[in-house]
Amino acid sequence: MSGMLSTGLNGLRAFQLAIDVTSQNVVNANTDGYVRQRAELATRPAVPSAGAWLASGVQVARIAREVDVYRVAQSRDAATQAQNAATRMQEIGRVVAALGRGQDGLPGALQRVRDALEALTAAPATRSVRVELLAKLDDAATEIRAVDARWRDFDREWGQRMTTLVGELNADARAIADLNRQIAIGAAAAGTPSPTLLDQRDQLLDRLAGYADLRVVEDAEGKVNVFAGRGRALVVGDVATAVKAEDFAADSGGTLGALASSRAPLLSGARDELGALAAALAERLNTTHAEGVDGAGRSGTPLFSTPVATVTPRSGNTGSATVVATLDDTDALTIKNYRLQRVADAWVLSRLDDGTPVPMSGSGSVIDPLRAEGLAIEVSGVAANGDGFEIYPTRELACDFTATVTDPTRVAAAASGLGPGDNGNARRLLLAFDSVAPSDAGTTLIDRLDRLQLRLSRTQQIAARDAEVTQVARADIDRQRSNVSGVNLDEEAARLLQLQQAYQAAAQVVRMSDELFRTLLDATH
Amino acid sequence: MRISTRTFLEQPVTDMTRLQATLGVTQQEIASGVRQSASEPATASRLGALDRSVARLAQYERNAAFVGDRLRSTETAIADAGDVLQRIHELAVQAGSGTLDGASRKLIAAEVRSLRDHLLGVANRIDPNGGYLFGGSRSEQAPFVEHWGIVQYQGDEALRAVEVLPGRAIADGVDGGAFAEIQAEGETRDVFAAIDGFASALESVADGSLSEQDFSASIADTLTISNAGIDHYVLLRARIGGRLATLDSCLSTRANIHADLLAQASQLRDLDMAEAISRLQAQLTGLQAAQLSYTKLARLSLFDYF
Repeated sequence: MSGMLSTGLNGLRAFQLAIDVTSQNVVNANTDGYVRQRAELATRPAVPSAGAWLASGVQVARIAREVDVYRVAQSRDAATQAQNAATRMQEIGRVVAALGRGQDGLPGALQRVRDALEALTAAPATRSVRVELLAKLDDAATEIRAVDARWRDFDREWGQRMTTLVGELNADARAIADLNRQIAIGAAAAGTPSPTLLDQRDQLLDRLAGYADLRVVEDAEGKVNVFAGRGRALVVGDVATAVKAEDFAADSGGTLGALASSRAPLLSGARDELGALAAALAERLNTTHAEGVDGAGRSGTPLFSTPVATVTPRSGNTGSATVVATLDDTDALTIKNYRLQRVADAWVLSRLDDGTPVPMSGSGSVIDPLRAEGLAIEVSGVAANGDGFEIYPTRELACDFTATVTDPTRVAAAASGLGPGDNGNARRLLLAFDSVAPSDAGTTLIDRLDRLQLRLSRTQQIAARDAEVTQVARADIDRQRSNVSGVNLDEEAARLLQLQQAYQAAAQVVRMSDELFRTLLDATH
Repeated sequence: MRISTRTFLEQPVTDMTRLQATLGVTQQEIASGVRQSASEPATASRLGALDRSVARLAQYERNAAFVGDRLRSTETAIADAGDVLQRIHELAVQAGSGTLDGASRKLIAAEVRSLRDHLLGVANRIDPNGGYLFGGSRSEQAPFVEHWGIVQYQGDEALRAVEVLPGRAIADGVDGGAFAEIQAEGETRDVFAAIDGFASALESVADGSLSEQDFSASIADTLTISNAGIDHYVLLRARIGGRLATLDSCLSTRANIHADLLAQASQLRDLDMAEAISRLQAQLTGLQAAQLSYTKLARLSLFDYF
C-alpha cells in the first residue's frame, strides 16, 4: 500500500511537470525561435516485490527539445542562398537603372549626339546646328561621367554596408561564444543544457547564416564552432575572433558575398566597359574630326579628352621604374586588366583575372613602347626583378571624360580643302559614330551600350529568378523545420486534456490508497 | 503530418501577400496600359532599339525637309534663270527684225543689262537657311562676283549629300559652276559674258560703232545661246525635279517604316486590355476566396471546447 501511495504521488508529480512543459509550449506558440519541448514519461526502475518485479511508478525521464539538426542546417543554407540572391537582385537592378533607359540617361544622350551629327550633315555651316552639336557632345560626356559617379557611389555604399554587417556579425559571434560558455556551465550543473539558451544560440546562428556561408560544428561539450564565408573561424569554443569586411569576397555567400560580388566583378567590369565605350567614342570622333577642317580652314581639334590608362605600382616595388600606358588602338582593346611584371630582367605581361600571359612587342622606350592588345606601355627608370604594375586600361576613363571643344566655329564639318558649306567630314563623323570597330562591323556605339545594358539586365534577371527560387526553397524548408519544432495548439490542448485526466486518475490512486489504509486501520480498531 | 499552429496561420498570409503582389502587377499594367513583359531585358532592349529607330526617322524627316526646301529654292531659281533666257531670246528676235531705230535698240540694251543683273541676283540667291544655293561648299560668300564688269565664279563644285533614309543620300543642290555654263554648238559659253556681249552689240550698233552685218552675227549668236540656255535650264530643272520626286518617294518609304516600327513596338509594349481585365477579375476572385477561407480556418481551436 505504501507502494501504491508513492506510485500515485510520483504520477501526480510527473503529470504536473508534464503539464508545466505543455503550458510553456502553449504560451510560447508565437515566440520567435522557440523550440517546443516535450516531457518524456518513463516508468521508474522496477523493484523486486513478493517474488516479482514491480515498477515503482512513473517519472519524467527527460524534457526533450524537438529539433531536427539536418533541417536546421538546411534552413540555414537556404537562408544564405536566399539573402544572397535577394541582395544581388536589388543591387544589380540599381546598377542597370543608373544607365537609364530609352530617351533618358546615356542611351538617349548618345542618340542625341547622332541626331546632332545628322543635322550637321544637312546644315554644316549653320551656327545653331553647330552649337547644338557641341551641347549634345557635352551632354553625352556629362552623362558618361554621371553614370560612373553613380556607380562609384554604389561601390562606396556597398563597402560601408559590408563594414556595418561585419560589425554586427562580430557582435553576434561574441554573443555565441558567450552562450557557448553559459550552456556548458549549465549543462555541467544540471546535467542537461538550458533549452532557452539553446534557442537563443540557434537564433543567432540563423541570423549569421543570412550574412555569409556558415558552417556549424558542435563539440562534445555542446559548444558550437562557427566558420563563416570561405571557412574563416568565427567562434571556436568560448572564443570569438573578429573578422574584417575584406575577409569576404564574391564567393562568400549571403548578403556579404552578394555585396562583394556586386563590387567586383560586376561593377568593376561594368566600369571597364563604360570606360572602353568612352575611349571608343573619343578615339573614333577625335580621329575623324582631325581629318576635317572648320570654316576658317583649320584642322579639327579633339572633341573629347584623350583617354589614358590607369597604372598602379604594386606596393613593395624596389626599383625606380615608372610606367605610363596609353590606349594605342581602341579597336584592339579587350576589356581586360593586366599585370606587368619584371621577371629575369624582362617585362612580362599577363591578364589580371586568370593570369594568361600576353605576348608583347617593343622595348618599352618612348620611341618603341611595349605593345599588346591595343596598349602602348612606356617604362622609364630602372625596375628590380619582382617589381610589378597593375594596368587598368579603361577603368578610370569614364570618371573624367569631357567634351573639349566649346567654340562652334571650331567644328570641322568640311572635308579637307573645302569651304564651310561642305558636309564631307560631318558625314564621316556620322559613319565613325555608327561603327564601333572594323572587327565589330555593323555595331554602333549605341548598340555597344545596349549590349552592356542587356548583359547587366540579364544578370539581374537571373538574380531575380534565383531570388524567387531560393525564397520558395527557404520558405519550404523553414516550414518543415517549423513543423518539427513549432507548437501546434490543438495538439497541446489535447495533451493538456490527456494529462489532466492522468493527473485526476493519479489523485484517485492516492485517495484509494488512503481509503485502503483507513479500512485496515478500521479493521484493527 | 504535423503542422505547427504558426505555419498553419502564417502560410495563408504569405499566400495572400503573393496574390496581392500579382494583383498589383495586373493593376499597374491596366493603369499604365503597358505590358509587364516590356521591362524584361531582351524586350526592353528591343523596344529601346525601336524607339531609337523612330527617333532616327524623325531626324531623317528633318533632313528631308531641309533638302526639300533647298531643292525647291534651287528649282525656282533655275526656273527664273530660264525665264531670263526666254526673255533674252524674245529680245534677240525683236532686235533682229531690222526695223528698229537706234533709240529702240538702246531701250532693248537697257532691258538686257537689267536682265543680266537680275540673272546675277538669281545666281547668288540664298536658301531658307541663309546658305548660297550655287556656292558649293563655299556657302557663306556670294559665288558669282562681278569684277570690272566680268562675272566670275568663286564657289566650288562640292555637292552636299544628305541622308534622308538609312543608306539613301540625296545631293541638296546642283553644281554651282554649271549654272552659268551653257553648252552651245560644242563649246562651253558663260551666260553672263554672252548676255553682256548681246547688250554691247545693241549699244554699239545704236551708236554706229558696229556694222549691221556684225550685229546680225551677234543676234544669230545670241539666239543660239539663248536657245541652248533655255534647254540648259530645263535640263537642270528636270534634274532637280527628279531629286524632289525621289524625296517624295522617300517620304512614303519613311512613313511605311515608321508605321511598321510603331506596330512592332506596340506589339511588345501595349497591353491587351480585355485580357488584362479578365485576368484581374480571376485574381480578385482568388484573393477573396483565400481571405474568406482564412477567416474561417483561423477561428478553429480545440481550446474553444474547454
